Amino acid sequence: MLPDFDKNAAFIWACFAIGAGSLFVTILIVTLRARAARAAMTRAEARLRGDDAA
Amino acid sequence: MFSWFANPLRFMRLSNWLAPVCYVLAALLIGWGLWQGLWIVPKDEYQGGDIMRVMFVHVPAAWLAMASYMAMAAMSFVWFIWRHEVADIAAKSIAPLGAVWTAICLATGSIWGKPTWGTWWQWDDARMMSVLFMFFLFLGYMALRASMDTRQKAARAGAILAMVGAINVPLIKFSVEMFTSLHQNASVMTADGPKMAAVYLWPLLASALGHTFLFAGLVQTLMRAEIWDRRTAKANAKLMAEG
Repeated sequence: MLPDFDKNAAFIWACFAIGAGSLFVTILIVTLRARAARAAMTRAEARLRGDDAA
Repeated sequence: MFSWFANPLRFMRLSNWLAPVCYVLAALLIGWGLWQGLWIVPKDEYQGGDIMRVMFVHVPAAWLAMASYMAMAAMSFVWFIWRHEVADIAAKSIAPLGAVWTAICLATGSIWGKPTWGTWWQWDDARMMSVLFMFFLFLGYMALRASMDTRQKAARAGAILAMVGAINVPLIKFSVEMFTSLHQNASVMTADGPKMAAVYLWPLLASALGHTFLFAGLVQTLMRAEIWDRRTAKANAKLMAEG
């Protein structure tokens, strides 16, 4: 059940949505960036070892 | 102490368990702060009614924006003096996250300003302009690094900009006392202690601590990604050399 705010409800929800949305997108980008970096490193080091599966 | 942390292998071992711990603590604290801020704390008629609930997003974002800039400047200083690679990686990783929290601070502050002051933005307001300037410093730092052709040049140019720009942080903090501003004076970090009622103060502090843990977790994750990138570049260079 969402709380019932006074006349400024739209401003309040906009702020919370911006905060939550920005942080969610940031977490997503950082996670994907880290996964991609790790996968690239694994592939490069496997190639260096001469691992054909890489 | 700096040398102990400067070892990338040691950092990778530490962050492997510390980053997840930071994320869990962040989720708990931000969740509790949000629940308190949206559902539990009473509205404050003196502060304009329910609109004061924006404080639980805006204030932690503002604190994190300033703290992240200071952290970036401190890491730049450590790199500049001791040339510790991990410090440069930390400064580089802090910049985009600092920009995100500064953007949240600016956006939520503007939205809070409309019903409270009757305006979205005031171009001659010292607090607003100094925070906007910090946002551009973060963007400028990233652009400057990206424009350099070697990692050493990028680190040096970025470090100088970050350290010089640090002078803006105390200006932000004291702008409401030194210059004309629509923004209210400090009500938590004052010489006489917090002026805020405990019912608002504890959820606000929990939320701010949660944002800090989230920021710390994200910085560590980005630093790990950067270290993996550098290892990839090293492996690729070896492959090229071997033909």
